Amino acid sequence: MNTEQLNFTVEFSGGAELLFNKEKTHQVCFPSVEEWTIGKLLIWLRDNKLTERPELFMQGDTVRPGILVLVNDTDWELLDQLNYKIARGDSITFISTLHGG
Amino acid sequence: MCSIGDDGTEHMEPVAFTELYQSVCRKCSEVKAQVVLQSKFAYCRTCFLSMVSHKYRSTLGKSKVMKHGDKVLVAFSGNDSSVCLLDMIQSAKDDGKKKKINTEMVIVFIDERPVKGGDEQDITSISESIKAYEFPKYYCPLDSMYEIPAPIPLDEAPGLAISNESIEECLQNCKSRTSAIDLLKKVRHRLLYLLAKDLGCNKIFLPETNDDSAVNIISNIALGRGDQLPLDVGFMDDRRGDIVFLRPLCEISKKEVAFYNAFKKLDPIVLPSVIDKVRTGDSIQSLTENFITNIGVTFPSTVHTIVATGTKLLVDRENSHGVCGLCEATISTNDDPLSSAKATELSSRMSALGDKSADTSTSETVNYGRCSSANDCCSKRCKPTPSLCYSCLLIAKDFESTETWPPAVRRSIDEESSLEAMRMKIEDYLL
Repeated sequence: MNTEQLNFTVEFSGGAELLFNKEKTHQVCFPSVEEWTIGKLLIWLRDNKLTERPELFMQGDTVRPGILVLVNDTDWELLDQLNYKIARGDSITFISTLHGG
Repeated sequence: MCSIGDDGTEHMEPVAFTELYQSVCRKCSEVKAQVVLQSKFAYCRTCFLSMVSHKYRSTLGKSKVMKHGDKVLVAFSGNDSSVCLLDMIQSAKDDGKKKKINTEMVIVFIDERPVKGGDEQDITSISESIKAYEFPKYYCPLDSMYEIPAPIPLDEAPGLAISNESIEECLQNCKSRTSAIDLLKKVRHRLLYLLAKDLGCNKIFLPETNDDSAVNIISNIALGRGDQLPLDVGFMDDRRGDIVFLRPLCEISKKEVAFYNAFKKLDPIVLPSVIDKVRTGDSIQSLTENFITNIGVTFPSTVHTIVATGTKLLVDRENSHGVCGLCEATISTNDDPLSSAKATELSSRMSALGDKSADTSTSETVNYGRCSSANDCCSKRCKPTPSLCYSCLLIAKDFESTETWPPAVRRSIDEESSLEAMRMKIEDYLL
């Protein structure tokens, strides 16, 4: 594995995958010269991966209420939330709890 | 109203997440926490899982409705809460330590996919995802409501084409998304009931969480279903008598369900629904969901407060007569002049009067939805209305005609109407 790169996994579940071309798992690879936080990742996902209406995924600069964020199976409320620095091999999961109606 | 802060001395502080940063479990105080509930309670994985499964068991246990020999139909849609429910049923069964009530479980998957929105792989993946459970599994499309509903073993289902044309067409004829969602829900419940009867089940498990209850409480009040609220949101719905609907997850939140599934590596499947093909735009149900979720960010106890208040209500069985042909709840005869039915009735009378003197005192009290006064005004203008409760009548108004509704529903509306007509005929002779 190239040490210069930042590899991690992004997963969508509970209906959030419908906003991302119905793909549940995305392998992401960034050049690690710069630091990547979840806040930055959200913007990147919105601009590069999102295929449906962005307001269903984001509200302001964070995720829409009702979408849970897990970093390696840990609630991001226990971490730095938007400021969490993504490490190599991390698994970041977005779970939608919204029904939609 | 909340009085904190009124005098300017106290303020409700927003919950600061820094306090939670890297905190330990509040229960065992040993292991690093992995999940936070209501923005303040941190749990580790083990304590969280045992707490959530305990909630499921205590909900069922304290209700005392489960009996030896019960046969339960589990409504499975593939979504997060139904996946969680199945796993809890299985774990409770496997747990040798606890005292158990012997029950038989049957899984039923109702296919709600629109005709041109499904994937051939959908049913295969549903079938794969629950392969590990050894309960009998059945499949039934929504459209079987237009014939005689019969469950098909799930293994035989993957090759079948989606056959939901009739219900899709029916819902597309609806003028509002709100009514379409409400009608679909009633039809789905009716189908589950008929399937339970067919399979010899006496109980039905619905995978509804307490977030769902909170949304249902607020939206059902907005829809005029206030008098049936305890049936629609409580733990038990016994409106049909012989088969009861139970909600064993009614004390578990969506967040708990999501983390339960994540910790247990359960993979929910979200399939498209016929409702996606109905006119877009907002519905009372989805606006309510957004509203409650958004307040929940700053006030994490919102859902609990709504549910705790809403589930204390009781059905007024004395002041009711007849049964609604669609939702099968009893129709309230409460003559409270402040009910929404009375308000709508007054409003339509006023519009019908036009420019003439709007004297409300002359208006007789009639049961909403029925034409009981025999004077000219009424018998000429109104055709006899079907036996529906106030809010089901509102659904019917959003349709050109109820001809496209499933025949089983139309039949029971007719039956209830003729029963009601008979009741009114003999009313004067009854002591």
